[in-house]
Amino acid sequence: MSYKYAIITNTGKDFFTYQNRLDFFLRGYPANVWVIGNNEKGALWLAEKNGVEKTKTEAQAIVDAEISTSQTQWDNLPEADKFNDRRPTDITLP
Amino acid sequence: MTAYNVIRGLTVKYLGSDPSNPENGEVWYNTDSNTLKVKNVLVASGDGAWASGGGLPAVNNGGAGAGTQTAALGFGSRTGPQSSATYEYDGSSWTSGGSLNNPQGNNNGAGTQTAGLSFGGGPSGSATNKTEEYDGSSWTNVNNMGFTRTLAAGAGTQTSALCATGYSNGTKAQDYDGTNWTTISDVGTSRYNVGAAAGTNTAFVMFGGVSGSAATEEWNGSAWSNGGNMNTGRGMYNGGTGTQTSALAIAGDGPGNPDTNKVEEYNGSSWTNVASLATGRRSLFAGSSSTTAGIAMGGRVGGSDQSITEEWTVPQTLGVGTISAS
Repeated sequence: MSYKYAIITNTGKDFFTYQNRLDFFLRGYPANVWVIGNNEKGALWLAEKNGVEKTKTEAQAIVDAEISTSQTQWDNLPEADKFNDRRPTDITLP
Repeated sequence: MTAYNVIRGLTVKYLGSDPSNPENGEVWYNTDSNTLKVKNVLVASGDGAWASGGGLPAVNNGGAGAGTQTAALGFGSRTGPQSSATYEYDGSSWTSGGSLNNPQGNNNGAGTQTAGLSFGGGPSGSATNKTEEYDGSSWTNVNNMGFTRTLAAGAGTQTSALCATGYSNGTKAQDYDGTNWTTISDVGTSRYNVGAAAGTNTAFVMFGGVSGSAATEEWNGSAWSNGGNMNTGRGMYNGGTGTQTSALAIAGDGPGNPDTNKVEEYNGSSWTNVASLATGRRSLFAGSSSTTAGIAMGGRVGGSDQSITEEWTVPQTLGVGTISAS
């Protein structure tokens, strides 16, 4: 399966619909990065949302930067505050 | 014996063919096919999928949920300090409700939007036994649990809930009858970050847990027993909804599956993978409704708390069904 990559803000209700989920692959990642199945309906949804398209390398770099910032923040937490959560893990986009 | 024509105001007609426009709930006997039939029963289910819902007014990680897809309740949070915020959902947008008396994250939720229950919770390794009831506008402190507990397994209704295991009281469990918490038998496996679902406190199921547990345990009102293991073990937080025989395990986090978007459905004995969330995350919280119209909100992905809501729908087709003797 091939994908498109884009920056899009989730606007809430009807941002993506039940039917969208049946029609094409869609997954959200940190920093408003979305991975969209590269078919006709996926491309139409991306255009309708005015998504800012990125290459896979660009999208991965945006996610990496977000995760890196979060990891630094977590490292600087007091030990007691680390109980609730784990250190953010690197994410590899499909 | 209750007569059908008394409770429905209709008699069972004997017809040579199905009526053209029967009322919902109408029953008739088709003399051509020799079958007893009823209008508006479930005749087919479509594919389940998650769609986006209205965003929470604020990011929320570690809250608790209750209610249905069109009348949900979200309360508490561990985003920043422990939060007392309560939000009500109408199927499209969230509005603020009455605040918890005791700000809590990592708490458990049960009940409905107008009859909600919050119990336990607490930050950074500490835990509380506090219990509050919601009436649709305000929270009232009620009798506390017999132990402190955070990140526990909790589900049920305002008058029939259960809290089991969690941090840090090991295997202990208590049920709630709307007034008092009562100790019940210990669970088999101590864990925290556990998901749960229950129609009542005598039909309860809990699943998953920290460090990637896949274990499932069921409570039938008198004893705990093992259920089928999840396909993907993970910490579930409050990502459970439904009942003991029809539950969803939504997202979560575990070794090899960080911030997963995986969703599994339980039928009372085994788990099946179903369609995934669009955005995988941990520490989200779900409503306490059915597995055909669910809701999941908030959570944390990477290092960022989320305000997103997703709605689970399995289309239900109603029609004329046949009543059989079996």
